[in-house]
Amino acid sequence: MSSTKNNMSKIQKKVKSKQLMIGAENKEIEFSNEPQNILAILNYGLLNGIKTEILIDRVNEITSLLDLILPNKSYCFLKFQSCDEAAKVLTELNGIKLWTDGYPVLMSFCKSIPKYQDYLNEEPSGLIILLDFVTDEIEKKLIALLKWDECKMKNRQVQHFGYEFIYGQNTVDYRKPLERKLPPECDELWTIFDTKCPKFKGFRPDQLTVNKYERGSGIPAHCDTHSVFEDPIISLSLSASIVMEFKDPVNGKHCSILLPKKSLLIMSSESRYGWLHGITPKNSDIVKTKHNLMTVQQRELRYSFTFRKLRIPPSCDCKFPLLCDIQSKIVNEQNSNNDHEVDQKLAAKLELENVHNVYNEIGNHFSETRHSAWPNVENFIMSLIEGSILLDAGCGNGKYLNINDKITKLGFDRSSTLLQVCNERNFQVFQSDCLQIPIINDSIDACISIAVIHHLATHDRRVQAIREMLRVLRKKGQALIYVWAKDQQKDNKKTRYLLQHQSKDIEKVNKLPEMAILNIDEEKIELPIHKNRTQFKSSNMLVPWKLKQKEIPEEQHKIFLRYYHVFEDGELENLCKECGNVEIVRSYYDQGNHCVILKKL
Amino acid sequence: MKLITYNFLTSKCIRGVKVGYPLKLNVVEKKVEQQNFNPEFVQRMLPRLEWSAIKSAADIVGCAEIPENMNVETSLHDTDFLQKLHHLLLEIEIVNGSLICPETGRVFPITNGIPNMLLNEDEV
Repeated sequence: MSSTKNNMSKIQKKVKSKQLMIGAENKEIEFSNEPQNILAILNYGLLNGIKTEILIDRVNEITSLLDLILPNKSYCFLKFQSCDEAAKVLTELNGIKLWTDGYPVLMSFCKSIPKYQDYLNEEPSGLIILLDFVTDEIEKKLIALLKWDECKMKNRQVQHFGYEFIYGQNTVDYRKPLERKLPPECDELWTIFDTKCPKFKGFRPDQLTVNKYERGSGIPAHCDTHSVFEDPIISLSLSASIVMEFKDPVNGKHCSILLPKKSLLIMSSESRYGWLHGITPKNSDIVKTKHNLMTVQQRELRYSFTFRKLRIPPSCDCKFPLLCDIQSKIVNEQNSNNDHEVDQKLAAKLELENVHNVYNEIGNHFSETRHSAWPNVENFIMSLIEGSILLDAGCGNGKYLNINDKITKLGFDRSSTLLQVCNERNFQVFQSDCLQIPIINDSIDACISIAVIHHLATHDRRVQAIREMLRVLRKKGQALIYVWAKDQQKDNKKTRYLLQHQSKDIEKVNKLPEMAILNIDEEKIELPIHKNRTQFKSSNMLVPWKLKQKEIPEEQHKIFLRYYHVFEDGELENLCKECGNVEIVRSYYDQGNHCVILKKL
Repeated sequence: MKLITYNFLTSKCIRGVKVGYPLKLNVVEKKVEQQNFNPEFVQRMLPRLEWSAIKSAADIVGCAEIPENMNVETSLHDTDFLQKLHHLLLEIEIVNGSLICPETGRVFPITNGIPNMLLNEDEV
């Protein structure tokens, strides 16, 4: 008796702690110690493998269940006619193992059930599932065809017939047919197909991909390349069922579709061209039972036979340009005409002409406008421990080299004009490029790169600049990077850059033409000219600088064009991740700049 | 350029150069500017110094009193030594001269106190 008592108090404790957790997550759920007609199962739901069939059977042995409410959570609710019935079920089943490989279920009375939104299962049009498409006999025959000693991918095994389906690009090369054609055993499928699917009568595929999915494996969401295949694409599920996820990338719609064993999936029109499909890697699926209730179904080894028909030559005129290789190519080419990365070979020359030489010319004037340190950069430098060694990679006039007397500061820049300013201020500097830092490995405690990397003209060069900083940093050393953001109006607040727009100089500068054609190394580079103090229209452009020259009349003041690549949201983090061996400690937006603090691992 | 900066510089970014350290120092013009002596500051620098580089540079700038070897532990409380090191690292400024890559002989000029470590496109 005492052991039962002990056991009961243990269960009560667990119930209490579950109640607290669930209550904290959803304040609408109110538990009760007094009998109610609703019972909550606190530790089982759709998320963690509830076996609804067993549960319903056990409950129905005691009394009749009115409703079972299964939100997409690790708990669920049982509804009864009366409080007494609920109390009976609780007395009998609370703390009892309902299925052998499970834990004892934890139950509690509950005053009300919150409203759960019905799963928005909006299906794409053109999706057809033909149940029991093949007989057991054909299923066996098809599986027996396969010899699995060949190619193994990470999570699944694949075999190709007719043409190789190239994963990653989701396409085929029609110029390279395989010697191995579709097995003749498939022929009888087309007779069935013509009868069961008159809409696509006569469809005769010439490409087959067979996938063997081990339990738990999946396939990333994808859309088969539009131009290379005819409509539809069909897929046979053998040996086991699976739930396939469909996503509409335009409206964010999503639906889960059960592909029962031996069924044929037909994807055509919208479902084929406008949606992505994939299989989530997991060990079980949530499916409907014959009582129309949700339950968890364990997955098993499954084969899929996907049949496609090539379209030669490739073409597409679908209504879904976002996923269309033909139409997006046209769109990309249009965009890239005014916002493209310059050729790798020209990048260094462009930077020399339109960054380094400009800073040398405007250096003194530029330096006069750059006297106050940005507070968050100053805080970073002040936070370094005494005796640290700081490197300013792109130090300009050295405005960050006089902060914090307790550390050693080194700086470098490309511009000799700006370095001369530093030298006059007694800062320790040298002339260097940020792509090759002449500093020994693992020797620097902290590094800053403030408004530097956005002057580099290609992605690879921007990555290289971060790699170099990481190379010279010691392990656990930190780097702070600031780059100009393309979006100068975060959270509907304009940055100071946009607000300071009333000046005659700007008016004049903004009368420059929209595009500039630069002559770099006998090649012409066309780049847009930015209108100062306005939102950026493209990522790569030239920003004008009007040089103040006291000795000559204002109309003759020279205008210089500096090259900039402004950063999209998340772009800087992605660059850093590309470098590897690095932890992003913090990333933030600061007055029109994207900023990260990195730690070398 | 002070020797504290010299301590960290390398020519390893030149293609084909393996270590590029220490760079050979060649002094044409130097000056000495007195700085406030902060023993703690020098103490904290000790473990970061590549002694072989510092010692040979000391010989070149004419600071003969710097020992061949340095033990961080014992040096930490040797005020006389710390003072000499303070002078060597922080008070002597190389105004004109050059740094030379030990492997290729590539010369990096020091002009007006600023070493030019820029490499040409064909060197990287």
